[in-house]
Amino acid sequence: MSEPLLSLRDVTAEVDGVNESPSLIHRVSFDVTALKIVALVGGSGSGKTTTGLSILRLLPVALRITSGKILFHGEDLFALPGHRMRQIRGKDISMIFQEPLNALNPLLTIGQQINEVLICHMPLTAKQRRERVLELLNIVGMAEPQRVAQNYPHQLSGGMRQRAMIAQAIAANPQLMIADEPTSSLDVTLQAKIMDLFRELRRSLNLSILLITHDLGMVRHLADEVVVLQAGKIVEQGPVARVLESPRHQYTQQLISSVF
Amino acid sequence: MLLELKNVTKDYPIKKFIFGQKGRVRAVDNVSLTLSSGENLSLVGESGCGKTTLARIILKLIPPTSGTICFGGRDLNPLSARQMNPFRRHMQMVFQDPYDSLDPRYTIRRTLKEALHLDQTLVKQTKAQEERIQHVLRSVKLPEMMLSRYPHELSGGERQRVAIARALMMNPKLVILDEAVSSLDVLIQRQIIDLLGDLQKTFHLTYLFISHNLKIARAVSHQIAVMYQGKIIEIAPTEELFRNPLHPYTQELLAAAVDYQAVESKQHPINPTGQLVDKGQGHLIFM
Amino acid sequence: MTKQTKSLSELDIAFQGFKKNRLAVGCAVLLGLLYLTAIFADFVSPYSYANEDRRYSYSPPTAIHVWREGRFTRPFVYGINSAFNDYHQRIYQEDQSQMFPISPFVKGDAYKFFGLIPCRIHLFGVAPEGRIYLWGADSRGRDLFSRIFYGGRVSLSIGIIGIFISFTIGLIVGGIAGYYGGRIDDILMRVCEMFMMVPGFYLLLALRAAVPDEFNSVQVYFAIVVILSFIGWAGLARIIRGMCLSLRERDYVLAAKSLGLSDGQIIARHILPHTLSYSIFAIMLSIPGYILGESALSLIGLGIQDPLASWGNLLADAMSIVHIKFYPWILLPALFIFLTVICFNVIGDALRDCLDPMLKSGKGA
Repeated sequence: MSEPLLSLRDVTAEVDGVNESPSLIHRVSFDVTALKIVALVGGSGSGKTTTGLSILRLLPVALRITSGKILFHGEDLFALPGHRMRQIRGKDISMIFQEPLNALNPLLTIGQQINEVLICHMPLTAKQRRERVLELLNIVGMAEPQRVAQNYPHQLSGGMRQRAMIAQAIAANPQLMIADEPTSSLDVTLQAKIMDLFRELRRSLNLSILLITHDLGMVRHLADEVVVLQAGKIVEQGPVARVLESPRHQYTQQLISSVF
Repeated sequence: MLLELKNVTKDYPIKKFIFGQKGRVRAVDNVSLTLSSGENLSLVGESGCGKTTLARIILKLIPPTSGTICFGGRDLNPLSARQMNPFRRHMQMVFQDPYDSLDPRYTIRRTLKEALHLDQTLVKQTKAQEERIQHVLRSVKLPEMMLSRYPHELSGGERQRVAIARALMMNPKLVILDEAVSSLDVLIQRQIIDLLGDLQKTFHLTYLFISHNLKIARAVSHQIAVMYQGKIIEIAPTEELFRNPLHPYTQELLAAAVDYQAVESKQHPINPTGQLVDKGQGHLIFM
Repeated sequence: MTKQTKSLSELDIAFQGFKKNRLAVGCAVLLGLLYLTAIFADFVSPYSYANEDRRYSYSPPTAIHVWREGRFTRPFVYGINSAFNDYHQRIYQEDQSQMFPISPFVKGDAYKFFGLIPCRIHLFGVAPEGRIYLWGADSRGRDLFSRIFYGGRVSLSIGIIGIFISFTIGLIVGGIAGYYGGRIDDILMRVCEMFMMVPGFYLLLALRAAVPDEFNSVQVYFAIVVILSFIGWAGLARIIRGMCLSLRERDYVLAAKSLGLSDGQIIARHILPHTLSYSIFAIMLSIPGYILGESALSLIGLGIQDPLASWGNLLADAMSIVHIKFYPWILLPALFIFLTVICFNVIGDALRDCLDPMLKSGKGA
């Protein structure tokens, strides 16, 4: 077995400065192997978003990782100096959020926002960047890349905003994309299309995806492996088929039975 | 017949920059529906199809451009706000975002109490009011200590229970649930849906359930109406619709919701002179 | 989930944040003291605002002595002798032969406590034959210390009453315009803009010119309050209207509508209270405008008329550089204006800081 792309080892996060507070995530360990889609599943408050943010060291100031390691290509992300971490964010690991309207800057056009990422991480000329923006918008399935690049976020529909954010996330050819509830704010028809896009991106860009979701139906159709979190602890993990067909933990069973 | 909509249409004017109108958008297009007591109906469609507008027209929160809405045999259109009040208590609504639908400055008790103001018999009867609040709170399975809390101290699921409790305060006959579970996680969705089932029995309710997800609609409704671009394009008993979706748009919705399959998106042309045609077993399709 | 016994409303949380800001709390205490002294000006000051003695024109601050013949005594002041120098200016000297002990709760000028109870007791003072000028005297020999507190009554109250009037108008106009929108909104906002287009100070002068000359001082006072609030409400109404425009789209407003609440009830209960956080610090930040407006009017002689005092007309004395050079204490009212304005601004800023997160999310989560 090859070395995993990303591996979390006993990661624990706590509220800073509060003694004896229950840890938000407790000794979380799992691996993301290259080209796999790993789903992090749990109800609200289970710590799945905290886990996602801690990988990029983007936790809110009140939260702190108290122990554990997060290895990316064998390199401990917590040991890295700030400037190295900034290089990794967006370049090697990118993230997309649940509500694209909040995650996109309302004052910049879609093209400008994708361009920003390219300026940071890619040694390209202005002309090359313009072409790359259009190429990216094309990859995420925008019908009219030229027009979309000049649109502001509020001029796009929910599904198109989500695609724009994905285009931004894959701009610098990352190896891993963390997708935090990427479809919860979308209509079912759009959800299905975004899931299609994820499969497509994995194939064409060799992208691994860490999918954070509460919807096991989506996991069943998209992910290879699943990690079930309950109250900050991993209660079950394994290949999707195994976990969903014969769940061992009661919480997993509960999650499965909740799916309509 | 609890609720009957006849040819309800709602146009929104598109304003020009300064004066006058540029044109009109038809948000709801000639919708006719009937709801019988105890027979839950789901309105399903993508965002922007006019389902929320329709719900608000039913509650007379916005006036329809044309068409009639009859509740219990009475036409609601000509009623003034004051005349509308006796009907309001029979029709209540639960909104999508429980973070937005509760006034953040009100304690839960005050929110629930405010809902009682339409009941003239309860005015000044503090004890009877308190009993009612307690009863409804127990029915939605919330502990009593919640009453003195503020919305920001509650979880999403708890807030949505409060929103449901508020709708139940006046003993309504019809409850409109506008995407009431969409913003919750699956575990809580399931709990709320189960709760809605229990409440229907104890309070003798009828639900008009609005959702974009056919799978969830299936769990609460006896009938499903699919809306597309302001029109109802298919309406059928729930299981019949799942077994035998006739309209291509319904098929697309089903594929997405049940199998997470994206169908190559295409516009479904709407026949301007089309009508709902009965295909037997209460299954109507627009053609 | 938080396991706290007492539930806190958003305002409670904001107030806790405010208490942590020491500078702002200090300012609040100082401001409280200023208002207390203004309310109890009759009692705190040794003389009435009109008590004059021309023999002591521009008398410098009286020295308080506690040391006599080699030992401590209770505080006392000496009598004052005056003479003229070569330039016909008065020179004041202590007359060590006369000695007036400062005693607490002495009888002095008559006044009515809260305008009701006749009373003669003052916090401190000297025997009627002597004079005590803690902060010097003005041209007519009136005690500046007393007059500053009496002036505080006018200057400090004008801000509160003025903001009350303009806020009431602003909330009602803004609330109606924002809630109903459409044509009502258009008309009301154009009216607001008409007020805002005219430069404030010119409008102030023009409106003041419309006030009849024969008004007595109380009428002039109210005329000024009305004029000031007349200028102030428009900007506020516009901001409240903007907030209402977004608040009326919130689901809880819709929920209230579907419960059958009337428009008035919805505006009063579910919309305007949410502008409260903004209103509180807007009030704090706009009160200084009223105080300064009154001062400016009084300074150029169009506001409060002598013998009534306000910080503005007290400063009118200090308009000549010669007076400031010889009698620097007449600038003291400026210090009070300065302190008050600073206090209001610091408190306003602190309130904005602790209310802001609430304003932004609106959800309080």
